[in-house]
Amino acid sequence: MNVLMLGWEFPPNISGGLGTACEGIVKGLSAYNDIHVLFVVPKSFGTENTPNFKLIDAEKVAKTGKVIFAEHLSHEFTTIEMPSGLLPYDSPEDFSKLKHFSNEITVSNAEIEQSEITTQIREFHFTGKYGPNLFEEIDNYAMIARLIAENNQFELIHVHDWLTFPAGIAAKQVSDKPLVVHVHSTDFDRSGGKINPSIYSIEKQGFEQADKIITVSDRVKKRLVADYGISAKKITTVYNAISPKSSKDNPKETGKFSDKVVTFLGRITIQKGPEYFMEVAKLVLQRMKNVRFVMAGNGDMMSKMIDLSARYGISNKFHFTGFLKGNEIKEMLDLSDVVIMPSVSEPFGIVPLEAMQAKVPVIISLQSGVSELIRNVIKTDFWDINAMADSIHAIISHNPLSKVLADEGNREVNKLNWKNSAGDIRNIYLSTV
Amino acid sequence: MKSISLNFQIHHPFHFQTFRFLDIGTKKSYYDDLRIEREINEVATNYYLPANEFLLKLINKHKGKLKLAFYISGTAIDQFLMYEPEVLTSFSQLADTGQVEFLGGTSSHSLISLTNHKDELVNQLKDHQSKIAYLFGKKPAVFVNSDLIYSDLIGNDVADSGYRAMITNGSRKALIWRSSNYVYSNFIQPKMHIYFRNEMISDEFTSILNGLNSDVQDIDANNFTSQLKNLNPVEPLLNIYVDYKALGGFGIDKKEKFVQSFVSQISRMPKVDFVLPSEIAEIYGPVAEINASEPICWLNNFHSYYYPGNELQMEAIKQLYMLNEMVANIDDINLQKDWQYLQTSDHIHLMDDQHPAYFNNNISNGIYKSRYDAFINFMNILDDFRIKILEQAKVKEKRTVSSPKKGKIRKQSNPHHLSK
Repeated sequence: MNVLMLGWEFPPNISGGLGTACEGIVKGLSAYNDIHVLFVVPKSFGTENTPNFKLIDAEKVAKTGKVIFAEHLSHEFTTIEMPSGLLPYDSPEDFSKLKHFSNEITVSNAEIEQSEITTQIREFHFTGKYGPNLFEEIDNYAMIARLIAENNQFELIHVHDWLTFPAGIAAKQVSDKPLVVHVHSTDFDRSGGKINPSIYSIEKQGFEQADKIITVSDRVKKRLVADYGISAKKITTVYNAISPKSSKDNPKETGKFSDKVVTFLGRITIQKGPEYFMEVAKLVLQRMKNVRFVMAGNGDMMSKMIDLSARYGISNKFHFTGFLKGNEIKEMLDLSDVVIMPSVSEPFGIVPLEAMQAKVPVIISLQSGVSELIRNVIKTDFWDINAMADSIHAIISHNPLSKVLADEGNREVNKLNWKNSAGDIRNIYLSTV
Repeated sequence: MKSISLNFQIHHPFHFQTFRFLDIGTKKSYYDDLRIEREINEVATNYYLPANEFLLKLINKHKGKLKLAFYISGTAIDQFLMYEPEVLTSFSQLADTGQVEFLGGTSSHSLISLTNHKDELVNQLKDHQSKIAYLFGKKPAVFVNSDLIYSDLIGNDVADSGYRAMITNGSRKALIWRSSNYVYSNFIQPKMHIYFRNEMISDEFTSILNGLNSDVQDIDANNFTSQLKNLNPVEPLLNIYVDYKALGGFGIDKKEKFVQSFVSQISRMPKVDFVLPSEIAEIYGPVAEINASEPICWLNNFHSYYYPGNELQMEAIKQLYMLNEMVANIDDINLQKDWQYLQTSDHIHLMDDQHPAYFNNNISNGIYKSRYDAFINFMNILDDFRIKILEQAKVKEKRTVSSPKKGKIRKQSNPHHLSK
């Protein structure tokens, strides 16, 4: 079966867990000989870490769509790059601030324009004029998807989250093939409840047009039923997994601080509950001296958090690292004695799994999808700062607890693999066509 | 001749409430009093009182034939005294018939027998023994450990504290190929007799009773008694040991009918009788020594290979009993009570999410979201308790240092005071 998969980011150029999840799904599906995936991303940077993928420039899509399909028949996954400034987690307002980013793309697009491309494609290059309108971008992505759909053979379309929904619907209209919508998050999660009506309507349309829906947790499934009026019958939960860590990773680095380190790792946005982490830090530091708190990441609430740590008088024990990527994340995890994810609304949440891989005890909120999947972590409500403070105190104070959480957590996370998740996805494909 | 020994267990722990590390040193109570009271009211009204009533009728009806034994844990007794004292009155009515006997245990259904604090074990056994003697007029002669835990060493320690017999679970781990339907003796002290709970028959008995909810038709005891007939006639003994709650609750009328028909069928059978655990030793001698180097136990619907438990449980037990010597020197009655209630095995069970107690805790408004929560809560309470006994120890130290002076002054100033 040939699957046209529309995503929007791919490691290492990611701003959240979605690119990682897409990579895992595609790699997991590669274990099944009867599934062939043609993967489309809006913009590739040429640095994607894809040994078993082929990156094809967008202009070639227009010229020689069949070539791509031929290549993808050779049992390899094909990634098609499309020039676009789409970013997964940004609101239209944020998008308009991303001028510098657009300029980078302009430079890379200059090369594209030098090569021979059809005028049809060139119209979608938006060179230098992305402007403030994200929705225009999405429409353009949909048109490119329509073009790709016309020029390729496939039996099923699989799209990931709202930015790709119009593209998926367009591809469905052209090809008349079934559409599978994969929901990694909804606008309710990202906005902390203050949803954008335009995004909501794109999401709702995508869910309604979909023949099957895959959600990353039952939590998301319930959301779709309750807030989007979607029938539970066409929704199936497939939990994310995590790629195994190679055993030759550097041994755990410790001893930089004599203090214990409690880490919040993620975007500093309302969705992730950073202010609860701050309150917890304040509580714990009232009673304990041998502990430091680290907020690793960036986001729109970062300056507010820095102000707050100063107001609470804990800035000598509370640290900000800014955005971490790649190996920095691993280093941060190795330095940590506890990782905490107090998310207010987390559709899944991959950070706890990464921490468990690094043998770090984990505390997560019950308002996360991943809490449905894993057992060997401490779970609390996101608002229950007393419970979180208590858990941190206990992990730091009782070595056996910390050891059991690290060991059993590690054992548990090592049992997860993308092949199993992809197997569930494959079953959904087979039941759809 | 075949003798049936019918034993019922009653146990309720002092459930903890959420106790954060921020609560340490704040004098917050450890216990969820509301939940405990509600639970005791519920079991008294719908389980124990009505079941005692129909058993009393049955005993009177069968004049000397029906014999029963109960194990009531120390914590359950304390809770009955606090919230439902008439339960104890009702049990002493059963005791007055002479057909009912009460078994001995540890003072708070504790895991003390898994440690090497033998003095404390002996104290706890004596404490429960005198409590039962006070309430029901007779000192227990047969011992039941918490969760029926048994090993060679435990049997030896129990023998040293004066018991001559104890009941444990007929676990394959210890019996291997042997039958549970004989009396055995302890490997270290052969004069200590060991009775094994017949796992299959006891579980069958419980599951029939649990199946008798209000939706099903009455079940005749025929099938069950015919199973007993199929037992090897050479084997002299049958120990049935079940949770007493199985006799009450939903469908109690049908349960009563079932027990009635069971008892009358047995009493009509030739060469079969009911026997009290304390009588077994007089009738049957041990056939062999039993070797149990590792502990065996009984936990409702759970495996008998349980103890010593997982790493969290072992740590909690270790940390708990590190306080043993310190507590021994404390006179404060409340702290002594806390010390007993902290030892109840249920708190430890909740640190294992495979354990049935964990599941039950969660369906009955339990406070723990994972076994880790159970561990954290326990350790916080233990921290608080440790601080309290350290404070007490300091106070006591001060008193002993300064008291000779005070005593002298008093003696001189008021010589008549002491003689009063």
